[in-house]
Amino acid sequence: MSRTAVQWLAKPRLPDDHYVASSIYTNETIFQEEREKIFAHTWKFICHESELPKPGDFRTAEHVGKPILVVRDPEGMVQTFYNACPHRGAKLVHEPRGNARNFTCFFHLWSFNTQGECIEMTAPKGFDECGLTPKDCGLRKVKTALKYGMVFINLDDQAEDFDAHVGDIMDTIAEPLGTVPLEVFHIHRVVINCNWKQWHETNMEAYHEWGHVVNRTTGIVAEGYNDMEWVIHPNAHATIKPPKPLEIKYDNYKGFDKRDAKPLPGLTGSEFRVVDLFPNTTVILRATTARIDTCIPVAPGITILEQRGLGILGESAEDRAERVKHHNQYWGPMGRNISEDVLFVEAVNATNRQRTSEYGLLARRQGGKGQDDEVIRAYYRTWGRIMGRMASDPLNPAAV
Amino acid sequence: MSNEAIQRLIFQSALTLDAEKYKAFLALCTEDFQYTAVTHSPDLGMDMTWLAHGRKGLQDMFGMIPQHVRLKGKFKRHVSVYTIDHDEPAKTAAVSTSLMLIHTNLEGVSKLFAAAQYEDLVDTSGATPLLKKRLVRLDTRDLSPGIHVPV
Repeated sequence: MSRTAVQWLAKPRLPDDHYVASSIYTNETIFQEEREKIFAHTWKFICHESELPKPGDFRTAEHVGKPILVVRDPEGMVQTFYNACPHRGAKLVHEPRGNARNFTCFFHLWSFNTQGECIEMTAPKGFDECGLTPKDCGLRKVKTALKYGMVFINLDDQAEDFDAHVGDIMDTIAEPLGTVPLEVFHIHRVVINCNWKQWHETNMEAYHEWGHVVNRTTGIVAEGYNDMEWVIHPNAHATIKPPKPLEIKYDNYKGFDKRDAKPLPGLTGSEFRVVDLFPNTTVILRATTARIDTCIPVAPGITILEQRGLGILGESAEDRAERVKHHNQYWGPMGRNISEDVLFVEAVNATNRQRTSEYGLLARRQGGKGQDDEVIRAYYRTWGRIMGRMASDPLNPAAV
Repeated sequence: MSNEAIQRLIFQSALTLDAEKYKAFLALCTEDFQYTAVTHSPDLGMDMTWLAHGRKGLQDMFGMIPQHVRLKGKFKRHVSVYTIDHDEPAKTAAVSTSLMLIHTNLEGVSKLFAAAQYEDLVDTSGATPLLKKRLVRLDTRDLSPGIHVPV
């Protein structure tokens, strides 16, 4: 039966954590608060260490609107800094990648080494009277952690250690990502008209796989699919634990083939694994290739998705081509799945604006298995704890 | 083989892809046709392959397109053939073509979707020219929301 306006706007008759209000995606205050309470204090995937193979190699990025500089120092350590000259605040490095012994600001030519120390102030005598010296003018260091080749940063110097933060949730990708050196062979960004959480939801919930013809034919039909158990960390990271390796029927989709030849270490030729890390990073393994997603929240309804594809460093051109082909079958802007996901989340965002849709339902229960929404419910319980708001009633200060 | 005939081939390839007449597109290609779309990544300092298929792979892909959720509207490929270099002994011609891919949505709003270059190898050994290889060099990397068909 269709509903009246009053019925449409009424709270769902469901437990509070079984739905979210669309204002969590659209409200500007909430968005700004997420930057301050979540992104300024949680670990964020920033790049893969293969993007910085040699001392002096650097990458630039953005996190919470802040320019970030990641660099491998002479000792081989990956260091992260605000990409800002401490003198007048000019962005220090402008290229997305490169190799440098030192970084020199183009504004007043102050220089910094790869460990963030100021090594030269132009015409330094002018600062003598104030007593300003290079040792007072280092770059702002950002806490950095490496896990299975993935580089994570945290803007909060007091943040808990990365390993404690994620617990054992990444163990499932330890062998595929941590046994042999991997290399990023694909990176693309796409500006999506959606809230950043909507993209991560889509990465978490398996129910939307019905919307993809590829997943309908290769994944949902896999033996044990509905028995895969969600393992959820108190910090809202999640992974699946099937009773036995999930055997995706990759060759069920016309034109796709089996992936038996060169699976990543520890995987069968038809396996699928996933790890979702709060707040917005996902690692997906599909037998031969890996995908790492993260996104950059720009505005409540604008998100930049950044997606990487990985293969094995040093493999033959033939093996790489095969791995890239497998990657591109699902992923990348010309893959069969990614553009569908973009269209899905943009469609949700289109109705969330102006409160056309007031609530989103997270009401599937399957005993914590398969397409159970518990993974998203747990995510929003954690979101609510950090934000001091309830995702189902976020604008009501009394509802926490 | 005249340059006019080769130009007509490039134009026909654009028209058939625009119309999503994939059998007609493949009729313009040799049996060993190879299609590859690449773009350069400033982040990685190397080229990335985003789509690569032989004729069979394209046929399979074309057959599945109707089952996918796709961006509504239609695409127009605006092509300008810049150069045609004949290799008479090999009976081929290398053709460089500029491509502007324009998307028009259901409301009639047209936007540039991608800028690219076709680097085609054309088989000129027969009565009519045929596409033997197409390398698409994409300048545009944000193909929001993505595309299920060859550029």
